[in-house]
Amino acid sequence: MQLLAIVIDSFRDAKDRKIFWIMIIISVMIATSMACVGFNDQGVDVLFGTWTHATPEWSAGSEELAANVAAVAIEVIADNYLGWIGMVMALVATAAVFPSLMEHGHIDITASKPLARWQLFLGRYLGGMVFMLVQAVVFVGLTFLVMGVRWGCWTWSYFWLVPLIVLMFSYLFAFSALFGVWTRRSMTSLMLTMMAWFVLFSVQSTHALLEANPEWDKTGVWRRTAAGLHWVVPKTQDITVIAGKLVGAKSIVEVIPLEEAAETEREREEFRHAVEGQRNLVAELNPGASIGSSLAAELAIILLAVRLFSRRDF
Amino acid sequence: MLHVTEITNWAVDLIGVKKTYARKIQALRGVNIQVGRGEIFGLLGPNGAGKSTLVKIMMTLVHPDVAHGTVLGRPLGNRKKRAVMGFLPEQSQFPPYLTARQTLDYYGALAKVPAQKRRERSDSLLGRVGLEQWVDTRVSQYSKGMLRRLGLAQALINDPELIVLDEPTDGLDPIGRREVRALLTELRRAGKTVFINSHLLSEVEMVCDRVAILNQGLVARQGTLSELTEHTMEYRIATTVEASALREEVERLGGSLQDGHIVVSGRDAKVVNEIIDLLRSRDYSIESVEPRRFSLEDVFVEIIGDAAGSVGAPPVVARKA
Ligand SMILES: Nc1ncnc2c1ncn2[C@@H]1O[C@H](COP(=O)(O)OP(=O)(O)O)[C@@H](O)[C@H]1O
Ligand SMILES: [Mg+2]
Repeated sequence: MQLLAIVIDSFRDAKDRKIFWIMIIISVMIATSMACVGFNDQGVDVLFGTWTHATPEWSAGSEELAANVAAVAIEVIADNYLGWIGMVMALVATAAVFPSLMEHGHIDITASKPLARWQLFLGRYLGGMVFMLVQAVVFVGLTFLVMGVRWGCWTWSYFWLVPLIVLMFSYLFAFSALFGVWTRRSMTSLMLTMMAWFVLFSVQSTHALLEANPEWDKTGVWRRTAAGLHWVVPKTQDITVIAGKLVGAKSIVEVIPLEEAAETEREREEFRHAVEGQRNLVAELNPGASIGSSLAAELAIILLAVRLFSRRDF
Repeated sequence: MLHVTEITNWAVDLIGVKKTYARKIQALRGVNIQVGRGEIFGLLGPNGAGKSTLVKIMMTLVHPDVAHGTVLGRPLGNRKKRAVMGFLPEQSQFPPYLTARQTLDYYGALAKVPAQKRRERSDSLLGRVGLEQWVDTRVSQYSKGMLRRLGLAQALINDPELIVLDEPTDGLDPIGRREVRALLTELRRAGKTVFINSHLLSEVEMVCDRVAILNQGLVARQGTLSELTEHTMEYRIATTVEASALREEVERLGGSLQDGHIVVSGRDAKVVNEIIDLLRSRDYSIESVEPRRFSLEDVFVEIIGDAAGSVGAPPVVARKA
């Protein structure tokens, strides 16, 4: 009961900020603009018949065309909303979850109630996650409906994005909580969280580059270091790959005939190489290991934050 | 050990509480305080004496360096007992997006009050602190005094046995102060123990049964109001002609001359009689002999004035090089 009360309050706190509604509006706008695109026998129909674009190159008819467009939409959404836009907005919206809890006069009352500090922390943390969950359900739900109703593509596996969005957010929110508890200021903690995210990005990119190009590092020291670091940090980059795996939609490279568009044989070769690399990346990724090790890292960060929070004098 | 602490009659029994902030500010230097059940206890002291630190330690907001003792018969810091304690901090802030009623519901839930009870109690409490017209107004629109009242209501939502109030009348107008005093005496009648921090003597004097005076992190005096004031009493002897000629003899007997009067401090009437004898033998005529009991303020000023500097801030420990 106490925990629930805190979770609800923490969610309300985030909801009270304008950015909650801004996020909802953005979700609605994205869904609406997707709904403006439809498909008929001739091809693509934009803005409900105001403009029709005949697409003879997809001769198989509107159904396949719609499926392909949906696949592209899903990939764009997974790369962008899940990859960063949704995360940035949610991090901004929840940056104050801990600093506002720890405001003078507010924490004095809350922490004097009969519950342990770690419970208080946990409640706030879960509240932040509930915020993201609500946003993810709204966003994924709306875009799912548009793809189903307008395009006839009821891609149920698309709902995997909801837990993945929340998971991705939890990796980052752990940093936000740690910095929030430590600095007690939402702006500072938001900036530090963004920096931490950048560090995560660098570690993962370095790792990926060194793995793909073993010839760059003759001794193998850098490669091993990067691999070791990669193993201990929350793997934010993996999530979009996992999303692709779980949703199982076609990827853009399969849908859009880019290979034919290439003019020289060399370009075609490069393109095939890139596609191959992408396939390998997806094939090699073990979602369980990636998520498991990331959650372990997240837990370590949370424990550190709880320790800071519990020892603090208010 | 446990059964000894269980049978203690004190609502609050603190022994040797010490706290140093940031390794250099000694806020508390070994505080002992006993509060009886069912009494209103006042912790007095100038700003910076360490009053807030002490109550924050009782509420587990601050971790003491050393602390022994019990609160409501349980070791200091016991989590379960906080369900029957209420606390009003020095400053109170509430989530701005809640109304007064929602605020009480939220804090009631944290204090483990069942939902039904919370609903029943919150309206009557908000009425009790004079906020009945604003129950559904968002807290962000409240004035400082209204926030103080809401803070008080929040401290009582769980019908606590022990209520700890840090400067409860701070930010209230005289009427509000009187209402708070009435509320406190009402709580005492209901058998509750009330612990108040205050730097306002008159207020404490009006309601408290017992007080302690804290200065620079140490308890300088502790006892009932009459115990505190009876030690410090003085007699003033007025004569028709100023007795300055007798200064030396008066001082030898234990009196002193202050603005034309002879003043004998302490409760010893023998000294007074000796001085009267002296005056009579020198043909001074005595106009009046007036016993004067010190007010709490006199005691306070005497103690705080005794200590070096008059601010009451704790000494700073020399930092190790
Ligand atoms: N969080 C803190 N960090 C450092 N010093 C503090 C902190 N809280 C209080 N102090 C210092 O401890 C001393 C006692 O403060 P406080 O307990 O608030 O006194 P009072 O309530 O009697 O005015 C003061 O010198 C104050 O500056
Ligand atoms: Mg204080």
